[in-house]
Amino acid sequence: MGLEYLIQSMKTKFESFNEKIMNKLFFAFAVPIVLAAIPRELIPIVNMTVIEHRMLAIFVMAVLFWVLEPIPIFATSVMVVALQLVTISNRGMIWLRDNGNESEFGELLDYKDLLQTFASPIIMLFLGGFFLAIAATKYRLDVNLARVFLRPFGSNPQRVMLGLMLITAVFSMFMSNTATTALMLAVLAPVLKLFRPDDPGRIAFVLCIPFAANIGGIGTPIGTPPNAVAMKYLTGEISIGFGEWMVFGVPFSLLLLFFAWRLLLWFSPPQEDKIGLLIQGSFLKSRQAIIVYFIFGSTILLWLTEHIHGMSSHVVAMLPVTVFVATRIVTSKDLKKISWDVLWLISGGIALGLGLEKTGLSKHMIESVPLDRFPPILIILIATFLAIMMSTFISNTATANLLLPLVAALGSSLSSLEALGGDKLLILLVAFSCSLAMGLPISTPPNAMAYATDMIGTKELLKSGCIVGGIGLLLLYLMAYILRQIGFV
Amino acid sequence: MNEYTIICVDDEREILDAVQYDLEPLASHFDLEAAESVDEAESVIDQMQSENRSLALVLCDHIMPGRLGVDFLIQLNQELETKKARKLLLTGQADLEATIEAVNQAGLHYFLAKPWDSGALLKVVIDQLTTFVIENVEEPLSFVKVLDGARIFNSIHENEI
Repeated sequence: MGLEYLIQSMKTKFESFNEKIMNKLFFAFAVPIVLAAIPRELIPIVNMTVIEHRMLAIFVMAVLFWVLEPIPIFATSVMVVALQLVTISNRGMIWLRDNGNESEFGELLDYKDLLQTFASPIIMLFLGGFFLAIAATKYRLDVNLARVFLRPFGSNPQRVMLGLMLITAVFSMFMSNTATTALMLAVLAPVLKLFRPDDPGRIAFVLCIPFAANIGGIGTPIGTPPNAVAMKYLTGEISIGFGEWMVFGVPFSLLLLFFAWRLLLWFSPPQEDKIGLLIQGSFLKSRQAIIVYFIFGSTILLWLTEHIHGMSSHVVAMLPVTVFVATRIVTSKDLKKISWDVLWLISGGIALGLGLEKTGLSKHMIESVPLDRFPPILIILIATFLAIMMSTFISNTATANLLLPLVAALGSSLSSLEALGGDKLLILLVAFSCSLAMGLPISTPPNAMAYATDMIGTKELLKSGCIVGGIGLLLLYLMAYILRQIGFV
Repeated sequence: MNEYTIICVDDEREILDAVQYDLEPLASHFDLEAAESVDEAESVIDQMQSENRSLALVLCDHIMPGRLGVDFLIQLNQELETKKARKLLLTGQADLEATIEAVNQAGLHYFLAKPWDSGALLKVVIDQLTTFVIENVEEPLSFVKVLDGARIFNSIHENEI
């Protein structure tokens, strides 16, 4: 009976698990394959080459895979690079390289450029951030900073909440939003148990952490992956330094944080008049801990002072990497904690953008839509709105990976946008918008974590999240206006 | 049906019922199984493994007709699939020798004496299951609701960079 039962049960499990995923997989593969099979002439994109046709199929496949998620999102990224290497690179399959009609075939991509996306400067910048985070966590710098910074906020619930939000936001500018939220929810969890079950303040406290993490991520280029993807397009004449980003990113974050704080208190005012948030511990004083504090501070300082010493943020990022491995603060075992999935997700996005740009597809796609007829302000509104809507349902990074290459092409080819700040502003606005989506548990990992506490319902999250996102969009337009007025963009 | 199971082994039906009642708050995330003897517990575990479910925690009496509780725990500790499970003794009659054997050879994680306080039992089980989830579950987030949320969040913080 045993074996028969085993087979039967495995079969039903396999089938129920697979049916949904198989359908999604089939759909996500079938559409791009059909698209690749139909003649180029039937696709309404002007002057499309063979290479662009293949790139279009890969792009459509990336959209479907990132939206339906039949495989992990970072796996889609890897698949994008692999397919580009095989079908449109100069070291791809020999039968796919040339059909003898050069003008219509288009130019193959250099396979080195595609492979280099795995170690592009942006990835190294992010890696530097990961090293800071690993060391800070290992030597309890983050918990201790939280403890010290929280103290001045006393025991008044409203003020404690502001303190929690500020700390969360500042941490998530340098650590991943996920790790920051986990840390702060762990700090908050014992306090939440002390609240009476009918005290609405519980909801405000649980929501304030993920919101602050989402908002704080906007503050620096390494705060969240969409920012890194945006940095990839902000090169040459429109490049932005680490400190420059923070000059407008941090005030934007703090202002939106303030609104979110007031909104949460207004929706769910805490009934208790005192709350005691106690974090145990003290700063470590070992030699290695001191090195961590020093390198942490120096790295951030060097990131902010590029204009003095001339080292770009990517170069500075190698400082924590080098020192921490040399001093055994980050060991080979710690190296395994690095979120390669996040790095590869970004790499795939960069490779996708590279393919869209180098083949000329993004330009031709934009040209095929008569965008000149729309007022440029409407284009900005649509682009930011689309970004926030997409990233509400799918990964923020996937949204940035898909939208930013098109937005970059749009900004540089549409002359009417120039009056409103051109591609530089549009790229920034879309990247920011990707982080403003927080209406659902699935919108961001921090939201999912807060939702997992079971202390908030979807309704509360939807209401507060959408309003905070909406206020964020309005603030974003205000920021754009100011940046334009002072001549930054 | 849940992916993870808690099994309680005791020859007295009332004890099994009482434990199941005390652990009811965990029923949404763990299957609660009761066995009146080691043999019965083994067949429950076999069945469970055939359905691809894993043993998360075993709560076991020592003196029972047939095989002894501590011997069963030692056996669980030697098999790959059940080695990871948290092992608890819930007994009034284990002598020093059996207890030492349980600690040294069965990898005993906790010793609870009968009679027990129901709140304390739930607390111990939650604590042990939290350790199990942190060590063995890929996506521990869904357990935040019923287990020790602070510890789970801390583990995410330390492992997710």
